[in-house]
Amino acid sequence: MNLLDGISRRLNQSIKFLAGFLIAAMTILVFLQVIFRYLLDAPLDWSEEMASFAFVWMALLGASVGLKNDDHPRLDIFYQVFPDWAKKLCGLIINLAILFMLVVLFIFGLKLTITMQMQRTAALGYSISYVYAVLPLSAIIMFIHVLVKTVLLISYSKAEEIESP
Amino acid sequence: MTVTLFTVFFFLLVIGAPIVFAIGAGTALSLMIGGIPMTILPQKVFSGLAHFPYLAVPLFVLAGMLMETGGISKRIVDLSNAMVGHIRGGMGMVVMVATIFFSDISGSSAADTAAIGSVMIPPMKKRGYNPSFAAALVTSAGGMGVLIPPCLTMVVFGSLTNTSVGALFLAGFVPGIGMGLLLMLLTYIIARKKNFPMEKRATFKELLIAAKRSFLSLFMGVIILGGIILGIFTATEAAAVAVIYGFFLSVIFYREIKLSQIPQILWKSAVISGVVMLVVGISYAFGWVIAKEQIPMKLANFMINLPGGKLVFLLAVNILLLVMGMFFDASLSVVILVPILFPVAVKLGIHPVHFGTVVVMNLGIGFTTPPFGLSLFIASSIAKVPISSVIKPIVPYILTMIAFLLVVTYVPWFAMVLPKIFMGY
Repeated sequence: MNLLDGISRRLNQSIKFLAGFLIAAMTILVFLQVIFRYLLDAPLDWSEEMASFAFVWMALLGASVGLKNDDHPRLDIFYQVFPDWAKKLCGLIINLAILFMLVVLFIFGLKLTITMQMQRTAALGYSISYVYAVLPLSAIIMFIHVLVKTVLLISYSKAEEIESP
Repeated sequence: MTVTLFTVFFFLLVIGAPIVFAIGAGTALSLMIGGIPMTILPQKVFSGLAHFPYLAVPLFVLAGMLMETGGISKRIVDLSNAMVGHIRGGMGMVVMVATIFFSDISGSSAADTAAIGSVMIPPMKKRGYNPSFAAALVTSAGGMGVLIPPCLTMVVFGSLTNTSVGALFLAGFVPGIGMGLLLMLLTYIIARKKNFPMEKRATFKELLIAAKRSFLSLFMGVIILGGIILGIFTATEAAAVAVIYGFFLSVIFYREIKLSQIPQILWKSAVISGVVMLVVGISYAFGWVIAKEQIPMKLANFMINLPGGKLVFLLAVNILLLVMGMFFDASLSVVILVPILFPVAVKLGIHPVHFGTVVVMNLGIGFTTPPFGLSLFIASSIAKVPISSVIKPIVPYILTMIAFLLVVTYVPWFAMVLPKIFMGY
């Protein structure tokens, strides 16, 4: 458990900075696109594609950090009035549902990544699998985070001590 | 399949699951039960995200973060305060005016709310506004902002129906400003009743000083707005320019952000955007299942057979779109519903530009309504308050918006006046 918790934390730390790097890269790419078109009169044909791909990676990796930090919005009107045992039970059901979705996203995302291997991107001509790969990657990262949360949920006796599911 | 989808979705929603996972798990399970290749889930998430206009969302979040941390927002707030701070609830008015301004920049309600929310909510909290009320204000302003051009939803609507996008942009202006004024009036009434803070009236000299101090900050908006109106760049490009401009202004010129703070600003923006974009991505998969089950088609059939013609049809469209807007991204609702509703509208003699305005207005309101209004979620997560606490203060705003929606629906003048003057419609 400690090992898994450590992995989850350290992974999250690195992903944070990777996502931050990607958002910076996106900005610079889109900005360069404007500069090259107007100031240098030499429009770039690859900047939009590359920025879009950085964006997809950033979005899914950012979402995984959001999951770790419990930033994803939820409807908590009913949850708040539940008794402790119900909060714990609901937390378990929710986590299992999330794990189920992540397994689907991982397995079929991986399948998609492999199927798409031969397809090349329009402007840069590299394999589109490099972009698709973020689907199974972010799924497995989120899976680890939820797994840690679930173990914590089971091992604590009181619902108050748990971060929200 | 649909039954599974909605049962799982609502069950998980009610027991407090993050909404994005309630939709995701419901979609995954319904695909599994329906015997449909489950590759659909990752594929739709991916193709949904891979739209260039969406890049504007993280870029405007980042620009907003830089403005917030870098003293830019402070200067704009100071100026606005000098202008309208002496009115009760003046900061609330500032939110509305600033959103009109930002909507001219972004074209996406999510981006408006994220940008205005991260700029305006912290100073409002500091001035003693209830954070839930601040979130409600920003949320409803975001719903209004969709009407102000440029607007991605209008572009999608225009291209789907062969309606002039320029005419749609012009059509949104009067209803947008009108709604802004109404929401400001409502804010004033609430502020009087609840005795919200007001500042002492600024002298003309103080106003000039505030204007001078905030000139470079406001110029950020001018670059973006002018750039888009003159067709120099797209909303996404404008957003990137705003980030670069904001970076130089706050790090080098104002020196209010240290370079060591930059990584944190970057990853925080990435996380806020990631949370928003995962919802958008997953809702493409969700929408695919709904469309496959031909639910929009069945609804359209039901509507065209209603007695009462145009009047009842428009009412039914409003109700349907409001409900759709509660659950989906606006572009998605447009993609699914407009191809079906539009021919019916034309057949009943409703002007395409007027119809487009009504559609966009509806979806804007949908952004602000629980259980699944995108603006509502963004604003409450920036204000760090639970969504449930925003519901009460936002109800009068939503009712005002719906009332004005009905006016615009049944009095075509609001939408048609500018296209008539400038384009001869």
